[in-house]
Amino acid sequence: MSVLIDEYTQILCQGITGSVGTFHTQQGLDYGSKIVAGVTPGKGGSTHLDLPVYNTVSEVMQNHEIDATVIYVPAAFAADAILEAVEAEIPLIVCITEGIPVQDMIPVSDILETSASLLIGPNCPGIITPDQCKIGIMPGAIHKAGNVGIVSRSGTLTYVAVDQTKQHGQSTCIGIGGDPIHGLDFIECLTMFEHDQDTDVIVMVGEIGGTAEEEAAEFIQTAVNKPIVSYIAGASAPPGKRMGHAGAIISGGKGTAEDKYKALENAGVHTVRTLAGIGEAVNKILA
Amino acid sequence: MYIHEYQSKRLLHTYEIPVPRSEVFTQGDSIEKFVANFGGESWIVKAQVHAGGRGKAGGILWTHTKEELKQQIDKLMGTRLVTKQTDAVGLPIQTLLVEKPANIKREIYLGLLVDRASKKITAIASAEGGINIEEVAETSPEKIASVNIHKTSGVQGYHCRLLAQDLNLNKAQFKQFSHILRQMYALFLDSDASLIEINPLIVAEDESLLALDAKMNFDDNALFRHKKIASLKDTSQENPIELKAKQHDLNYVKLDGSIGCIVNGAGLAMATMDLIKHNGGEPANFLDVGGNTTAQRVTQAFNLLIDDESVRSIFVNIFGGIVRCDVIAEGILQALEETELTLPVVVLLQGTNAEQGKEILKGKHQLITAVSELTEGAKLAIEKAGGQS
Repeated sequence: MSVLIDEYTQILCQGITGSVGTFHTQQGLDYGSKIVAGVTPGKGGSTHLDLPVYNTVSEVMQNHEIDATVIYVPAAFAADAILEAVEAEIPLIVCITEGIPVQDMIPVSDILETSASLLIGPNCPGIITPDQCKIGIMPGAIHKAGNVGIVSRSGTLTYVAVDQTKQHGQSTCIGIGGDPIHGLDFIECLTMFEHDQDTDVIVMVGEIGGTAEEEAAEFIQTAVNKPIVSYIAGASAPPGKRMGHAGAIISGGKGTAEDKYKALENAGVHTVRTLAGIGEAVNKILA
Repeated sequence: MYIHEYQSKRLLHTYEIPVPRSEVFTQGDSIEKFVANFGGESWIVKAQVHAGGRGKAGGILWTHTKEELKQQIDKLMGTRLVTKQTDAVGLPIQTLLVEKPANIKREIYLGLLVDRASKKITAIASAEGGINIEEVAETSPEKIASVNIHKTSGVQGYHCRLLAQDLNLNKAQFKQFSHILRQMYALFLDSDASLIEINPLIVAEDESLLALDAKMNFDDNALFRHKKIASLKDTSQENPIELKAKQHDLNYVKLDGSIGCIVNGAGLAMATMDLIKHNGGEPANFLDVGGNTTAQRVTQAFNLLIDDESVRSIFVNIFGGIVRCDVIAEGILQALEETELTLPVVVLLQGTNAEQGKEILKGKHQLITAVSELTEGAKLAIEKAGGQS
């Protein structure tokens, strides 16, 4: 058992012939991920890294069983690629691309609401179940199979959390991405970890801004029984230079690291004030 | 990307949203020629800087005669304005907006933004517009109306009715309000804006609505498809080191402390600042060299921090992923050779080939101390910067 992906997950890569797609597809194959096909419009019919390349996702679906797709296409075309994958009803869509215009993501999120597909990202490292399947740009070698589930908004912070939990290893690590509009959020990931037999402790790494952590805290109170260790990055960040009031009006002054810590502590979460404390807290729980 | 008030008002005018009559005076223009076009009536001279709080800082001046107008333009132009939202150096005033004063009966707030919680475009309105709108939102949230606008439907009549229900508008004003909201929304979509705010939207003495001040922010990631908007950028309003960082694709924010930070990934960069503060130090900056960084970008980061005179020590915190720590270590050594750095450097390398990286740095350079743990690194960087602040 693991969350969302395992050794049988068959993967499509959208944007496979680009430099980023090529590099990380090779890394994924080396790790043992079952990447079976790629899409690059205009390059259909060719092969790349010994994999068949198609012009459209729909053609791929006629020829392969696909469980998940990973998207490396440039920012200007990434929303298009996500929507094409939703149209093809691929269950899991992982979008790595950074810098997608926010307004491109609004219709994507609208359409995802009525679809069975799940989106991870964009602007994220991806998802990995150590020793089984790696989808994304995280360094495979730092991970080890184990019983800690990790969910994080930031890329490199996920890696640090992995490093901090190296004594016990990880069940699955999910980087949900830091963009304002993204797919899977903490609540969905916590639910999956709660029901995953291989996960004994959950590490949740949040960031200032937005209210996703506060919402997660509310959810944890009633729906999560497994121990959770949480760190929120940005307690020391000065209030950003900003013009206009709309952001502050809509958040009503919420979203500071202190608000998030308070909400999580009320929900019984083990909070740590520096990321160096993550490992210690996890070790204590699993001792 | 922020733009100036006068640029925002020009955009509003293009979208048929009423704004006061105005003229723009740019540095280098002839004051004599400029003032010659004005009659003897009252005008307001508004300093154009990318910061709020201009009025209280003396950046908005009233004039009643031609002579006064000349004096006030002369007084503001070329100086720097320090407001509660700027640093102590302030922002340069290179453009002035000279505007016809309006007689204000009431001030309304109207804003559009991308709301991350609802994943929609949200419109906000309040009858209590003006500079205290944030306080109103905090203390009496019931005085703020907000509604999500679906991209497939656009602005409908009910959106306008809902927002206007507490605004006490008469029939003609409601019609004008609906027009303004629809046009604002069109501009929002057309320009990939992330914020458009009219505050205050006033009810003038003649009962018509008028946009008295406007703030806009545009999605940097979408500027590639909006050349006209991108051309409105005023780099004089940015911190020179931040500007240099942007040119090298580095994410940098200047802070007040003495410990320079070079970190890969925005989250880890914030976490490193937290760690320094938690241990009693003050970070001099936020600097993200990118999640999958390269040795070359680390070199550029060193070059950037050298320009900051308040930096007393540098803490390099890199988590090697795809890019291996041994490569980063070589890069750091090379950077120190190429730059004229004389500051102590504490280096923490974690992740892929961290041990090899540390080995490479050992004893190679008198300025460098390699550490193997986060708290150890932060404490040492604080010590090298001259102790706790």
